[in-house]
Amino acid sequence: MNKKAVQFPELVHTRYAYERLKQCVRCGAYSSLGLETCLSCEAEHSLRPVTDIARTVLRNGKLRDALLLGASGLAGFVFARSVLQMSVSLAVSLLLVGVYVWLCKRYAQERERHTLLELLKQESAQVRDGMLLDAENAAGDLKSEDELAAYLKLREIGHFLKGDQIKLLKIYCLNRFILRRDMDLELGTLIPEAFDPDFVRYVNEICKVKPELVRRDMLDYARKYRGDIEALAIGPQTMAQLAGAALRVKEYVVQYPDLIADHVGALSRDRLLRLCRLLQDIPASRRSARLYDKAMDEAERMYGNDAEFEPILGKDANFT
Amino acid sequence: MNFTLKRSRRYVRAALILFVILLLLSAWKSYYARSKMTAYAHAAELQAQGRQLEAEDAYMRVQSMRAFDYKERETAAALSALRPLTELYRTAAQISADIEAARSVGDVPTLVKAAEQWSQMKQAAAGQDEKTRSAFAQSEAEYKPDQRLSDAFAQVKKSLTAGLESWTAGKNAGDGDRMLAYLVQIPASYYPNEKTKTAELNRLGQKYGQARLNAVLNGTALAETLGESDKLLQLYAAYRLDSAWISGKLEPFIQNVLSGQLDKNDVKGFLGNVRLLQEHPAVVKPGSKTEAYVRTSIQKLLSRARQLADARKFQDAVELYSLLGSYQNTEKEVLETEQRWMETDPARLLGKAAGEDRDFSYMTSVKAKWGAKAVAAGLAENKTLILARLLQDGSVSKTEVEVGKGVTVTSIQLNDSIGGNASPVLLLEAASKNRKSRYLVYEALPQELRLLLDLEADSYTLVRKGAVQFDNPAGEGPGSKVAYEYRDGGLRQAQQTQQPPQQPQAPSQQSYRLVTVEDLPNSKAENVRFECDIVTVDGSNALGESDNQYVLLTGSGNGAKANWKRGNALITGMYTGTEQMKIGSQTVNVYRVQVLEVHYP
Repeated sequence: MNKKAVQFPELVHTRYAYERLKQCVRCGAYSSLGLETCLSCEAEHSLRPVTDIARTVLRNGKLRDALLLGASGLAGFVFARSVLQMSVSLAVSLLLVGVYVWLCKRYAQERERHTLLELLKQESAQVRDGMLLDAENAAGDLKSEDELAAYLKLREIGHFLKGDQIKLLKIYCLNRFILRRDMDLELGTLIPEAFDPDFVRYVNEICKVKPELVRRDMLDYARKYRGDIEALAIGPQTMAQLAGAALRVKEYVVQYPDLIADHVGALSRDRLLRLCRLLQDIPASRRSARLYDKAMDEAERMYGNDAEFEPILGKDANFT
Repeated sequence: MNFTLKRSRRYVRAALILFVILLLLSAWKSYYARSKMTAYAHAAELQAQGRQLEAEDAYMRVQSMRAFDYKERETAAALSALRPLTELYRTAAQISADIEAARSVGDVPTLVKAAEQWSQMKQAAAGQDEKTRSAFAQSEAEYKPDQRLSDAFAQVKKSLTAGLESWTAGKNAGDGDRMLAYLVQIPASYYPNEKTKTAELNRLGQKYGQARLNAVLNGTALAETLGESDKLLQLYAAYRLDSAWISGKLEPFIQNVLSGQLDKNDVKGFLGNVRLLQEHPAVVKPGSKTEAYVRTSIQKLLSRARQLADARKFQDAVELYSLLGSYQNTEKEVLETEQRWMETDPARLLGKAAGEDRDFSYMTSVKAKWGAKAVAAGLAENKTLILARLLQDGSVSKTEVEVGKGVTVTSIQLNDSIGGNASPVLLLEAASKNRKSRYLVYEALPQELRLLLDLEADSYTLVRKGAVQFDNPAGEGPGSKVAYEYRDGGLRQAQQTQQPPQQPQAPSQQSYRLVTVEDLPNSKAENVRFECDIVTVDGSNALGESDNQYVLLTGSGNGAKANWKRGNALITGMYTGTEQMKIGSQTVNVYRVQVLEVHYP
């Protein structure tokens, strides 16, 4: 398969997924793709971020409430029988409106957040429908073999639809790209529920360019489907790479000793050295003896005479 | 699609619309409140300037603005304070308007009402405070009701006076009454004085009344005159005008009418008018000349009725009494006349007994016999023999019997000599083929007429009381005489004799024929016997009456000096002719009879 060299646009990181969501002000359809045209009603430039929408809704609500308060005051004014009553009704009306405005200002953020959450809660079905519409759009890109556009869209959609369908589509796209270290790649968000060979292929590539993406969830997936992975052609390699990637975090050595131990022989010198050093740092009560033994044995066997290994091999007799 | 943003926009719009509406309403309310405040200030200013009427209107406008309360108590207080004053003005204005309107159409009642109202207002205002008196003075100066009233009454008075003075018969009496009424209603203060008013009203009233009466006094119909007089009297009484002249004008006319009727002998008309007079006691008062004239005339009529009765003109007498009954109770007179009539006229008695529409012939009657005041007999429709009794109590009894076919009656006599004393006997003479006459004798019992004898003979002779002899009766030898006598309740044959027995007490042995008074002219030169009532005795002569026919009886018979007695009598004598005699006020034909014998039952 010929892979494409692509350039990912800079991924905008947002704190919350909803910050990536937009709603069409005409038809109310949701989208995360940031297109110029609404996929539902085909209105131009009608998509607004939901935060803006929520602000607008909040503003409308404030206006409505203020108008109602004002109207109630005016009603009191209309039905007032005397000047005093009229004055009182006006004054109370103004006071109410003023208090209300002050309260709105005071709790603006909370209200905004609350409005947004309520909006999303009330329109969660519409959001899902919007994402499905986006997914259809992305599928259209795939059909027209524009994997990059499809992946970018799927990447956006993936923030909302966490199912394997989107993940697998993304994996499919990613496997069509030449991955580079400078690309804004993902791994944890792509881990499927079940074993998928394409995902393993992708992991294989990721371990080469961005091993730091391998985290606990990936290691759990590798441990779970170790047999299936190793059954693949690139399985052992992938597992060895995952073992090497796991050495980045000392805790992983403690938590995934078998995974690492079975691929000690495939580790590079630097990796083995690191492993030995980590093992020495970890108290014997916490470390896996098997892993320790294997690592030492491997180090002894391969780098017995290496000066950098000497302290590791020599220190052990004194560490209890 | 209904999504949150869209919904929020909708709510805002709705709230905005509501707000705008209420804002507009508030603007209106503000304007309204301001208007009321301005109106109140304006009303207060008017009140301060003393323009009460305008101030009141302004305050009422303020009060009518009920959507907003502003100075409500002050407004009510101001209106309460202003009302009496403005009421004065309004009333004065209303009175003036009423005066002008009434003046233009001559409406006196309205003028009078306005005058009263103004007078009451004056009196009321006099007792009020300074403010009220001042307001009253202002309204008086502005509207001048006194002057208006004075002018209006003067104008109306002039017009009404002219109207009454020129009132003639052709005009509507309602108008005249109304004009007079109006003049009466005008208060005396609008005349020089009360006395002048009274004199003026009396003068006009009399002029008007005379014009009305003159219209009706031309004819002879009293009803119209009396009606008109009554109306005038009522009118005068209502207005306390002098009405004494009316009787002086009416009485000659009334008497003229009445006397004219009496002259024409139109008693009915006269009495009708008398009744009319009685129905108008106001016109013909008790003690007036007319009343005296009427009384006198009635007495004369009563006297005439008595004379008619005396003259045996019972029908006329009863009619006159009946007519007079409409004036006074003449039942007694009518009853007495009827009785006398029945006593003397068999046709009347028979008519009362058997029906006045029956056709009677061969009537005869006897007075004061057989326990009855009168007894009459006659033949009804040529076939029924009827006997009527006028009993002592005034009632009438009747008995009848069919005489039978083939009986052609030629005369009927009532006889007390043939039968018993208790009951009368009827002797019928009828045509006979075999003899000169057929004789049927009936006994008149209380409940029936019983046939005693039916035979044919040439003549009969009363032998004595209860016995009769028939000459040459059928079935006997020629020239025979058969006597019958009443015994055992019937006529029984006595011995047949050749000659009738001599009865010293029997009436004259000369033969006579039983007749009625009516038949006398047909009985010349023969002795006849008839029954009549002696009504008048004059020396040796007497006047008898039967069936309204008078008989002059000369000589008392029996060869003795006259010893006539009034009452029923059986006369035997000879008709000597007819002469005329004045009886009562009438001259009548009288049969003259030379009397041979008189027999009183």
